[in-house]
Amino acid sequence: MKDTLLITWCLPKRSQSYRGIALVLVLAVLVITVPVAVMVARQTGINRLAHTTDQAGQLANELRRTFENGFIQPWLVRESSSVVLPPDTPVASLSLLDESWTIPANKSNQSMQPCRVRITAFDQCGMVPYELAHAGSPLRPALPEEILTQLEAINLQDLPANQVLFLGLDQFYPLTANLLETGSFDTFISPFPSHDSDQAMHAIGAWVATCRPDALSDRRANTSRARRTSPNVIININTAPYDLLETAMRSAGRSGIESIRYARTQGKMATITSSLSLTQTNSPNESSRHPVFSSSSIAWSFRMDIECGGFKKSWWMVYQPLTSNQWKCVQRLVILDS
Amino acid sequence: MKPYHGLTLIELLMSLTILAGMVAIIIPWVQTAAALHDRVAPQQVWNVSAEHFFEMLGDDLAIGDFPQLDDVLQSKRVTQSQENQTDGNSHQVVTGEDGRVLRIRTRLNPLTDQPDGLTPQNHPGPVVREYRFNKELHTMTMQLREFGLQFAQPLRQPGRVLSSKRILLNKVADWSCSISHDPESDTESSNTFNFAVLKITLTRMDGTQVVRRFMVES
Repeated sequence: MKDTLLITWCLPKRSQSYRGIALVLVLAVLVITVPVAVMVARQTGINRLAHTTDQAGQLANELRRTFENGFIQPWLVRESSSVVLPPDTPVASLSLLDESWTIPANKSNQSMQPCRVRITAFDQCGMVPYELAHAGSPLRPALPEEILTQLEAINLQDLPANQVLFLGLDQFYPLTANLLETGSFDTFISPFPSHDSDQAMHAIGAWVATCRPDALSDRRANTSRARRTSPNVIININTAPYDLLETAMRSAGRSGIESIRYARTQGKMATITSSLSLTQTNSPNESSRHPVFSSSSIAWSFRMDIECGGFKKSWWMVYQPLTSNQWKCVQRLVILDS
Repeated sequence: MKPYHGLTLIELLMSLTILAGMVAIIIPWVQTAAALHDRVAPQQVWNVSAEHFFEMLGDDLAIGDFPQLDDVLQSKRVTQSQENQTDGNSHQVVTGEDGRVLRIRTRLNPLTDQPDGLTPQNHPGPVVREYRFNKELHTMTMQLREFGLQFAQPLRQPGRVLSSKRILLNKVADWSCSISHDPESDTESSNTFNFAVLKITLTRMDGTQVVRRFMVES
């Protein structure tokens, strides 16, 4: 009996023995794996963050550079001088590119990520120059009420000369934010026009040209005098919205708008006739306050949006001709509201 | 007889022995893993911060004003010159103090830049960002400065300070920046534009270096 009890106590059933050992092994495995898994997970998170930041940002910048050199520059050289917009265009804009494709997420991974590039051109010569958008200007009536409200909210001409010299749409961000805070507008309106022309017409950047070579030279010539005088204003008769063109021609005492309208309706380039001649109004002082007309533009701005794998970056670029077959980016801004 | 479900004494002793052995193995393993993690994770975090730093530099270089100027006010966007030398030129990028200071003519970022004492009403567009290495504190700092009277005032003598110094990166043993006009690096110049290479070298406290090159139109 005594022997039987000892055996029972020391040698239990086989299944009970397995269960005990299994419990110990599971415990041991848990102790080993949990800290390692936590460390691996943390490391993976850090690596992914680094990868995303590094790859997406660099890729967007590379694509921007590629499309600037490979698409915008050739378009400016070959096609910008022959752009004709219909007379009823709300703003002087033209969608140039909206392409989507997929690219490998990274070099080692076979997974693909979607990419999209959108480029829209805005003719700075189809807008009212900032210097002529204020009270007393003959072109001011061509601006919609909501754009005038935005212009009234802040007067950038009160800023120091060094801030006015290189005027940019980014300087209007506080303005539009203020209008939202004071209740003048229900929603935030970006100063940068969007690709959609219906939405773009609410943005000050689609109506008011901030970066034109004529304006820069005038501002630079005498920064104190620049506040009192206005530069020559070149209006592109083939891209300007009809209301602006009509106002500009009326203020300049020019006729022939019907022939321009007809040509643009037909999709043909309107040409400069003697009554619209650039040289006739190219004299300084008083006459320089009146617009002069051209069939092509000397300043184009572009909005470029690049989306790659959930990462998006947007830029606003202004180009001016450097030589007869070369354009130069004179201003590039990051759009922060997209 | 009622079946017994508990551990036997031998099983218990064996379990404790196995557990003790495993703990003896695991403790050094966990210590080693933790030490490795402590060594690797801060490096990774530092690398992420360095990437952000480089991205910030890249954005500063990409955005800004690049006007066409006449001969008198000829603009070079890039230069590397002696701090005391003044030639009246305007630059987009300038290095000084043996590569310890980098100034970039760029634009203010309304979301991330917070100039001291500036209200939205006098919000500036063009600014100078001054990147500086503090050798004593081993930090990289950035400070906003006024653009000055752009063309009369060279970038190496920027205008008044707009913001307090902001620490961008810690634990930097050394940093240097240099500009080279090597035509070999001019990979983008399908036209007559010339590009210079701005080379930034960051050295971590453990001696490893991170190098980044930026192409800048000159």
